[in-house]
Amino acid sequence: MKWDSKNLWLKAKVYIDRANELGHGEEFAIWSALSLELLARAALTNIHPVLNADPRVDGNLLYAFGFEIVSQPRSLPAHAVFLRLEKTIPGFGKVQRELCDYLSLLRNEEIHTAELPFQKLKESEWLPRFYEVCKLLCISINKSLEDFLGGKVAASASKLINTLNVEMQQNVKQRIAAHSKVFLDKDPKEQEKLRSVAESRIKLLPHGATAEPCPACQSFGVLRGELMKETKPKYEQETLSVERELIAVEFMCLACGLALHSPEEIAQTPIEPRFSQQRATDLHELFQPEEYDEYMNM
Amino acid sequence: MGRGVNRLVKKLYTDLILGDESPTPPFRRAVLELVKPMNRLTEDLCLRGYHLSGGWDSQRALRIAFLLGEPQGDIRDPRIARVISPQTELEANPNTLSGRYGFGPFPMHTDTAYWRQPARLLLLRCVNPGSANRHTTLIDTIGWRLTEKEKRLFCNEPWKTSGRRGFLCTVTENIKGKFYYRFDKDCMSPITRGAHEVQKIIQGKIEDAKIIEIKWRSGDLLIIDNWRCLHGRAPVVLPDPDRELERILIAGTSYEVGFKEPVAKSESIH
Repeated sequence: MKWDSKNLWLKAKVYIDRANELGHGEEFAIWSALSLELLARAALTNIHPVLNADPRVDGNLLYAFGFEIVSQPRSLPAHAVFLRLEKTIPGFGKVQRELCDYLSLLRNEEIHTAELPFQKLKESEWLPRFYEVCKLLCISINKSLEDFLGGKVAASASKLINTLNVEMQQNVKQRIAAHSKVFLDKDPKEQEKLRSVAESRIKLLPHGATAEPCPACQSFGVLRGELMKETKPKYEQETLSVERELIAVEFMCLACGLALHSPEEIAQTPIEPRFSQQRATDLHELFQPEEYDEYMNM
Repeated sequence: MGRGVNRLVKKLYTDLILGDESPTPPFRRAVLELVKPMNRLTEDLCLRGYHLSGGWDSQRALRIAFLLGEPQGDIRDPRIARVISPQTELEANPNTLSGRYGFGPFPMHTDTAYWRQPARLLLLRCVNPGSANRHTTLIDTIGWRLTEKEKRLFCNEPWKTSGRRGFLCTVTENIKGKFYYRFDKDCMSPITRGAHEVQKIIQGKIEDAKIIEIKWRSGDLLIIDNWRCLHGRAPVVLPDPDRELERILIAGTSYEVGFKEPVAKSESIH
């Protein structure tokens, strides 16, 4: 089985060892990027090898279930692997996926073009997040960062991971302070006008969004969430409803313009990282969603 | 120990005696005769990692092999029971231990380390001990007390097997808290810096280990837990091409031996 999780993990380890032997620089980044893709596939196949199969051809799925096939099995493209990890690996979110996609694009450019995309890549742009991703993927297959990188490199990698939050904390604080200053420097009448516009706009928010006070100007902003889970339907006050739990992924102040783009950035502010919403539903939506339109037209 | 033996005895009765195809009385008697030795050998495998007893003919050894698991031929020689003898380097197949060491001693190794999953058990039956009375040597890895760092290195550092379709592997696998080994320096090579460290540690452990010497007599049957014990071949002064051992490799995981502290036994058997 070419998609055996353990062997993919070992190959990822061989590649990261080659990277670590080089220490830093262009080739360090190339081997690290190659290792990351293997580690990602090791994490995915650890759930089940079929998640690594290109679903457009049946043979690939059969191969993942252990059947012998005539043709060579084809695996998913890397970007689809990262999308699946986002849905399956705890802690692997949009930010982590974007880093993986970014390195994957550079790897493709390296292999398919005459360009040298890794040459000018600064380690500060990718290495702390890279180690964080490695840690998350290793944990998902019951391995540690130390197992993957070795004791010494793992120790420094952990420090780099910690800087992610420190850097982000400083960055978010600076942005909040800057927006606050610009907002307070405005004429009080203009401030009031902006606040009232914000208040009126939050009255019609779509599902998955909620109003939240801005940490910079205290006006209302929009907090957008992504669905984490939905409870079983409850029947209360003659209504069938479900409780949806959402993770805050984006915040935009409608008055001062402060924008926070990830759960990690939001976590640096007093805004709660998760929120819940109640949504009305009906039996047909729950049990016969495919016949919904037709039935409702009757 | 009990569970391993019970399972085997149950398998013996259900598969061979109470199965759909009713065995003929002589076969039934032959199978029943194996129940007692089965109890003893499984107990030995649990306690010491190997079993040695005398008075075995080829048919009986083959029968016990089928009771223990799935006997398999090697890629190079598909026969299930194969008689092996010391050979010169030129006579032997290249890429075999004989091809490399000739009549010399064999280093401690796991048999079929180049298989995706090495043989679970190794059966050696002595046809002829040979004119030089050469010993087979064993090391029980249960005596290796691995530190936490060693466990991490052994279970994670990648090695590469040689051969046409080489693959990556580790020297140790932790399966439900038990450490199983795959080590053959002649068909496995360390890849990473950490794996080279593992190689040094293992060589040190082999040098320091208590060596169990098996002195052969015709009809002796040695069953080795190939995931637990490393085995080798002792040196001799004169070549012994007349030494003949019948070898059966048992694959699969149907046979599960337990692990117990090794009992204090003399270093030499017989």
